[in-house]
Amino acid sequence: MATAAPAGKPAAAKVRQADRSDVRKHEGFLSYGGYRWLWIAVALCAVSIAGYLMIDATPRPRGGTMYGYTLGTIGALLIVWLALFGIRKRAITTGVYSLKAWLSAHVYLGLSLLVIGTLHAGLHFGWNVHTLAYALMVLVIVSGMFGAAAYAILPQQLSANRGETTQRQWLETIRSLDSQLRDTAQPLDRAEADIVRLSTEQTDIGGSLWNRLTGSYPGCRTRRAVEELARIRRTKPGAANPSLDQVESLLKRKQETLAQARRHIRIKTILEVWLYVHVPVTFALLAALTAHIVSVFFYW
Amino acid sequence: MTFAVRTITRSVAGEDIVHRPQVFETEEVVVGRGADCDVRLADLAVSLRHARIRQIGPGRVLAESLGSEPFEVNTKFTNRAELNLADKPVLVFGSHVLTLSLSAEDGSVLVDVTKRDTGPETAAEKNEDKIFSLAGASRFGKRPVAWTLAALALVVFLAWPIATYLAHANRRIHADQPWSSGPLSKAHAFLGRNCQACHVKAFVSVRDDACLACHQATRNPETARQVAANNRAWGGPAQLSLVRDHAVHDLLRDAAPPPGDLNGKIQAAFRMGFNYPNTRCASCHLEHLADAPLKAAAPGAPVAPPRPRPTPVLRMTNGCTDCHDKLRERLGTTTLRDVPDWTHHPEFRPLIARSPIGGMTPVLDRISLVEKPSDYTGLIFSHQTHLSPTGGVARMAAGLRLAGGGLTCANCHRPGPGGKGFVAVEMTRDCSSCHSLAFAPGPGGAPRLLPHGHPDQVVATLEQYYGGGGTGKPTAAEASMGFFDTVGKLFSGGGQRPAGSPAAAAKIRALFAPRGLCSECHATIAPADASSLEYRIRPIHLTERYLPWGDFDHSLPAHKQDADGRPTCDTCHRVVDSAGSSQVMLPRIEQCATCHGKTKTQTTQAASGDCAECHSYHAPGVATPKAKSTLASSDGGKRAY
Repeated sequence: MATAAPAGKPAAAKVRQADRSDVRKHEGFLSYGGYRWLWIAVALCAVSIAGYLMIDATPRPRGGTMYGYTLGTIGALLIVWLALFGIRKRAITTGVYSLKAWLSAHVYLGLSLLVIGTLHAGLHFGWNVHTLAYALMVLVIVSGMFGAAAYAILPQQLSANRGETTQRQWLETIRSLDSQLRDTAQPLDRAEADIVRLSTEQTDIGGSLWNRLTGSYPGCRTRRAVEELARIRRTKPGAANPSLDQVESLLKRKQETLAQARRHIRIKTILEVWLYVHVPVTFALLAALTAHIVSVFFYW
Repeated sequence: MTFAVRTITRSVAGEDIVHRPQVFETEEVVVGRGADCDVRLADLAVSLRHARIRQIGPGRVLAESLGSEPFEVNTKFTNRAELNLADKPVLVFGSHVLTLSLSAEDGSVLVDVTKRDTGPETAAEKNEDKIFSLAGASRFGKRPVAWTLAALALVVFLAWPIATYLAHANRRIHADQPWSSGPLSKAHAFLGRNCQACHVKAFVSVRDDACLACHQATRNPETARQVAANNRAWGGPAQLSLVRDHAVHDLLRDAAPPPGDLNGKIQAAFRMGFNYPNTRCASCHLEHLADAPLKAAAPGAPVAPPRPRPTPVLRMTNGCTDCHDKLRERLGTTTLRDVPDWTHHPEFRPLIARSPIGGMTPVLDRISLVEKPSDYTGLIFSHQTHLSPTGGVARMAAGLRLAGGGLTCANCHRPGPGGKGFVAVEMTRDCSSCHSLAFAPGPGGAPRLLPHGHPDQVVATLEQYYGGGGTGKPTAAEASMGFFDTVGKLFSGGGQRPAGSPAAAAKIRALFAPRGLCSECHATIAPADASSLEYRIRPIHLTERYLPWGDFDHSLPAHKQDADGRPTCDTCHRVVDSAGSSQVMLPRIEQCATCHGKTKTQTTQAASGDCAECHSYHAPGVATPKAKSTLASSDGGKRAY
């Protein structure tokens, strides 16, 4: 609990104190406002389900009943509003209409759409544009669930992995290690120099989506260099070579740095990859939704 | 011999910086990574002592590898090359480029060393975003994929179907198929690829014209032929169910009850706003639901429907009593009585024939049984006499072995096809066993019969028979015939047969006289001229169906027998006490209500009080078929009428 500021303290100090208090009580987008939007979404679902069960729709519940049209209208408006988050998120504001509040509503109302959309369809599906819109909606929601879960869990891991290191610092470290490797390897003979070149001329980081998601780089040149060096050293036991010792040490340091950076990339990729489904499929959903609505009224 | 080695680097601004040359007064210079080399290249791709460059003549040098590693000369790898300095040869070692030339000032060999910009890329030189962010590394950005998918969906599922709709009836391409929300019923399945057969106009709900184009009962033969031809072309059924409308559309609209609660008002506003009236055929007959499950009539497990359903789903937008409850209030001019429910169903109003006044055709009116109307039949008939277990009729019936103890209903009333109703009583078939029309023996022993129903032919027959002369005595064969006694009543005078026209006239007059044969059942009208034989019979009117707007099935077991298994003829019609023919022998509605509308606890013969028991929507005078009504009832709790 924030303590009252002593009389006469400047207003700025109060603000700082309040800020610190906010930080201590940090609430994420899921728990925003005491789970306000979760309860609103649950209430929306509960009302929808209750209405669905109470209203007698002959011969079965479907989008073409009065209740079906109502749910469809709510669902369509929700979809458009949820899609507008793509625009809204580019403007970061605070307060009741803060981006966090908006995101919280986006997540929970988006989840409630799963219930509303399903009830609108009357649990009936077919090979048509209507079910296509539904399927795309489900795909968007499921990818969103993945994203929400990722953002709820992974940022901590991301932070724990990198400590105080920045991405740029990793690159600087790798650049520095490469430079040191090149310098240290100057006295080495051709075969040994070629081993060092394996690492310095190509650093396997980033790469394909699979590499990024798994953190696996089967052809990693730095690892090969470490292995090759170890093999050479086994063939020449006892031969003192300070440069080679230093190269080995540098290569291992580079390997550790790469492992850490790759973990960072893996987490970041998980945090980003769902958007490659979420966003394009949202666009497809908006198009299919338009086709769904127009077709229904075109052939009414 | 002099070698001048100059290192050239590039400034941030992109300008070359030529460093002070290192001069070697020697025959040759060694190129390599090693510290002992003259031209030292800090490049791991270069061997410790890679090559040497030696002057071999004026303006000529020899470059050769000191080991097995080659070097690049003018884009070709080699281990040895003689070079002309005037050509300014270029040697490449790893990422370093050595350009040789001859100094114009002192004749020394100039070696310019530059590092290639396009050397092997290291991780550190890569773009940070490209490494750490998927956005930088992804071959396909989110936006291009998003716009492509959206455009694809719009084209395939919206633009193309609309284009084919506007282009009209291409029988091979049906781009609008993905718009179908579900399968059509079996009856309409042949229209599955012809959406525009029903969805005639874009953004206008299916109208009755589309349905009646095929189903109109009152269409002309030419239209019927066209419909049949269209059906054949599309593979439709040969037989269509033709319907008549319950009432004209305006009456249906005006008779419908106004929206009651808020929900109803909202729905009404919605329908009006979107031009989606619920008085259309398609409001009750729902298509694209052929796979919808049936709910059991009683709460329980859903019943699997036949796949697909044979006909569209029937869902009532209004029940019978929704409109008929306050019909007079809403329509004003209607002659129909309000029917709020079965218990308040008005008394039956059968079609009653008034006595013909002036003309020969009786006028028909709907008169309530409450008023105990008299029905004109033109007959002289007593059910009481005919059904009495004692008396002349009973004795005659016993003599004819028709029944024991008198006549029964079935002796005269014969069930019609299906047993639902009865065929009209015909004198010659149903009465002549007793009321014989024989008047004289005929050839071969068969009696001569009077033609029934045609007084003029009766007169002609008798004139012909008696006007032509004869013995006047019955033959032995005639005398033996049992019916002769009955016929004998016709002929006052008994034993002598009159001869000639005067005798025939007397017989004819006796026949039509108040106690004559015809007058037993008919009111005869004597000719105005006493000398004329133009007798007439008061017109007969036997009502075949008193209640044409209701349906009663005499064949139903529950309608044939009461709870104790006794025949219900007299229970309902109570004719045993009817002495005349003008009484209407219909049961009052309260008689129906002894079973209909009752519960099983009230009577074992309990039956539904539903309108559909006796009426239907498209044919009010016919009960809704049981199977159909059960289906509708199970679907929506409302009977289809």
